[in-house]
Amino acid sequence: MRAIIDTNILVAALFWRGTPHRLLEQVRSGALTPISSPVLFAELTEVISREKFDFILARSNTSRQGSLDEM
Amino acid sequence: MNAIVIEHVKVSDLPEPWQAKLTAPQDACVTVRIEEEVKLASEPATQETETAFGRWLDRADMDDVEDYLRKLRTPRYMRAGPGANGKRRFNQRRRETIMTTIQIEIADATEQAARAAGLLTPQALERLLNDALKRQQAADALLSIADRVEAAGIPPMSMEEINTEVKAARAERKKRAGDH
Repeated sequence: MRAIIDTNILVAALFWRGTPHRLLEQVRSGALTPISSPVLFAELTEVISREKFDFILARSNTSRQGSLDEM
Repeated sequence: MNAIVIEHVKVSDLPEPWQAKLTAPQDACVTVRIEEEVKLASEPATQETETAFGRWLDRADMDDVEDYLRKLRTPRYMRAGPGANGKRRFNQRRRETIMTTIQIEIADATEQAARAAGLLTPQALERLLNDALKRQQAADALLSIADRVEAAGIPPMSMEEINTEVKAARAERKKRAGDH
């Protein structure tokens, strides 16, 4: 199955366990193929580059650029 | 070819073996058609005598079916004879990488479609597996972020808070686009 995942769902899926996170698990298993676009990716980059996420990324020892590269 | 058609023949006038095959009453009338059968050119083929037909008729390389299938199932880089480039490339690759032979069972339709798409070569299968492994590794890396956030004791943001951040990012982008 292919799906376009909106930025807010993707942010929730990345940082916290819950229903959106299960989407990533489905991607890992191959059951779901996420479809993105340069616009969506740019928006995700902008959102997690906001000040509010600096704290989360720093405390969780997560590289912003590394995560974006994995995307 | 000539055929004889005799109409209004009483069932009682037919030979007894014919009558036995009919369910019609003795006084009923039937039409009899007599026609010479087309003679077959040869005896029906048996499993031993049946030969290839159509586009396969001239395929001398299929005379020995087992040998043909063995060659077909052999990876391309192993097919060339001794001293050929294919063999040399294969041996060189063997020295560099430990190779494994795997056997899989898939539906005939899938096999035919995959073969037609050129996906059943060792190179294509290796590429597909490597792509899948890369996807899994990337997904593992992304899934681990939530583990670290949880371990750091960071409380989850509500969807409203996340939506607020997304809307703010969109507004800033619009503003930047408007400035240009």
